[in-house]
Amino acid sequence: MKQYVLKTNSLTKSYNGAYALRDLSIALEPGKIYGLIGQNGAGKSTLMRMVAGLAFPTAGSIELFGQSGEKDLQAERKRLGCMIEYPSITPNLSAKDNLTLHRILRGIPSETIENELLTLVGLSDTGKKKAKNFSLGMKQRLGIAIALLGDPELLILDEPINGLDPLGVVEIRNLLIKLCEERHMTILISSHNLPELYQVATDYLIIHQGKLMQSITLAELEESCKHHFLINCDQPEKLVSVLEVQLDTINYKVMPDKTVKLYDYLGEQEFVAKTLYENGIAVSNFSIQGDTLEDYFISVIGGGLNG
Amino acid sequence: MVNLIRADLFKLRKSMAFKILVGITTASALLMVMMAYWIPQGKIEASMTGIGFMFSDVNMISILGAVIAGIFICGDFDTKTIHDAITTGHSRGTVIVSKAIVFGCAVAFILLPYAIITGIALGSGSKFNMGSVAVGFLHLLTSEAGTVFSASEIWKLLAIMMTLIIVYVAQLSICVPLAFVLKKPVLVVAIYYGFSILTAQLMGIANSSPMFDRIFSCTPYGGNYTFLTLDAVAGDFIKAIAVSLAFIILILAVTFALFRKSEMK
Repeated sequence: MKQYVLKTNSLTKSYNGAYALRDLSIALEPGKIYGLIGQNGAGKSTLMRMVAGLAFPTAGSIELFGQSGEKDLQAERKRLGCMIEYPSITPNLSAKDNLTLHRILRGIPSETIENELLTLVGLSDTGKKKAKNFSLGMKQRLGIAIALLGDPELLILDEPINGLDPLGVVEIRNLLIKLCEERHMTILISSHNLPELYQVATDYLIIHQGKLMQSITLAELEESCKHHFLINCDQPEKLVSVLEVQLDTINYKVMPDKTVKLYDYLGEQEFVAKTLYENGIAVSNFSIQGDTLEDYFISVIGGGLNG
Repeated sequence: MVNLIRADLFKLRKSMAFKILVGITTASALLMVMMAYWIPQGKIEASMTGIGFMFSDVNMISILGAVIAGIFICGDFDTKTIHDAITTGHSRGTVIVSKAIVFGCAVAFILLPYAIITGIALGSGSKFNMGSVAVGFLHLLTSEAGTVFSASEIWKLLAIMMTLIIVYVAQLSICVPLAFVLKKPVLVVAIYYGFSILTAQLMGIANSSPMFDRIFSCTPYGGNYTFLTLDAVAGDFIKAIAVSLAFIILILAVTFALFRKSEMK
C-alpha cells in the first residue's frame, strides 16, 4: 500500500454556509514538491491551516503520515515545518534569538543549528539587528529558517517568495530543491508566481473555489504545455507511417482519442501540411498547441483543458 | 509543556517591555513606602494618600498585570508564536497551561520589588501610614509598622507575602481567557482594570451582606485575602491559597473551553 505524507478525504470547510473548501481529496507522496495553485480565496491557506491544526474541518478528514484523529494528528505535527501567510517572528529579537526561541519551543537541544540555518537562508551576517528592522525578504528567509528547525519531513510554505529579490528567489528555489533531493523532504508550496513554481514543483494541485480542479505531475504538465502540432485525421496509422518515413521523426505521440501530437518541425508548418496532403492524409484539425503554466491554470479553472 | 515554558521564559528574559515593567514596579514600591513614611511625619500632607495609593501594589498590579497578559499572550498571537506551538504538535491545553504558568511567574516577578521593599521597610522599625486606603503589601506595611519581628514572625511575614502574590496571580488569572479570546492588549487592560474597580465595589457589598460575603469569599477578590497580617492563623493562609488555586483552575478550564476549537487566523 502506498504511503502518503498527507492525505485528505473529502475535506470541507465552510464559514457561515460559504464554502472555503469543498470535498477536497489530495494525497502527497514523500520526497516531492507540490505546487498549490489557486486564485486569492481559492482555499489554499485554509487547506494549509487545517493541516497545521490552526483551523478545523467542517467535514472530511486529514491523515498525516498515515495517522488520523485529533490526538494522533497532533503527535504527527511534530514532523511538520510551517510558514503560513506570514512568518512567526518576534520583532524585538534578532534572527538568531528568534531561531533560539523556536528551537527551545520545539525541544531541539542542538545549539549550533541556529547558525547553520542562518547560513542556509543567507542571514548569517545580520548579527544583533532586530527582526523588526528586517526587509520583507529577510523576514521571509527567517520564516523559512524557523520552519526548517527540527528537519521536518513535511514543509508547508504559503507564498514563501513574497518580497524576495530575484537573487533571493533563486536561492530559495535552489534550497527547496536541495531539501527535497538530499533530505527527501516533502514540500507543499503555494505561490502566485507561477513561472517560479514551474521551476520548483514536481507536482501541481490546482484549486478553484475550494475544489480540487486538477492534480498533475510536472511530466504531465510539460506534456500538456509542450508546444506541438495537434493533428486529427481518420487514418492515424497512415499518419504515423508518413511521420516516420516522410518526415523522418519519431518525436510524436498518439493520444487515446487517436489524435497525434507532433513535437518536431514546429517552425515549418507549411512543409508539414504539404507533406501530409501529398501523402493522402485527410486532416480535420491541424494546429499548434501548448501553454505556459499560467495559460494552463487559466484553462483549468476556466473549465476547459488544452492539449 | 516544559519546552513551551522554557521558550516563554527565554522571551521574558530578552524582553525590554518586561524589564521596563519591573523598573516601574520597583519605582512605585519605593514611592509607596516613602509616601507612607512621610505622611505620618507630616512631611507631606495627609490628603496625598490618594496619590500614595496610586503607587500601591494593588493599583499597579491591576494595570501592569493585565499589560503582561497583553504582551505575552496577545503578543504571541501577533507574532504567531502560539500558532507555531500548535503547528509543531503542542495541544491547545498545553499552550494555555504553559502560558498561565509563565504569566503567573511574570506577575510574581513584578511584585517582588513590593515584597522586598516592604520587607526592608518593616525591618527598619519605622512608622508607616497611608490612611484608610491600604490593601495587600501596603496594608501589611501600615499594619505591622514598628513591630519588632521574632524569627518565627519573619517566616510568617514571608508566608504572608507568598500568599499575597498567589492571591494577586489568581485575581489576574481572568486576563488569561480575556487575552486568548480578545487577542487585543488594549481591551484586556481596559476590561481588567474596570473589573478590578468593580470587585473593589463588591467588597463594600460583601461587608454589608453576609450572604454575598460567603459567595464572594469563594473568589480571590473577596474574603479579605489581601488584608493578611501577622494576626492571621494557618487556616487563613490555607483558605486564601486554596481559593486562589481553585479559582485559577476554574479560569483555565473556561479558557480551554473557549480556545479548544477556536480558529486561529
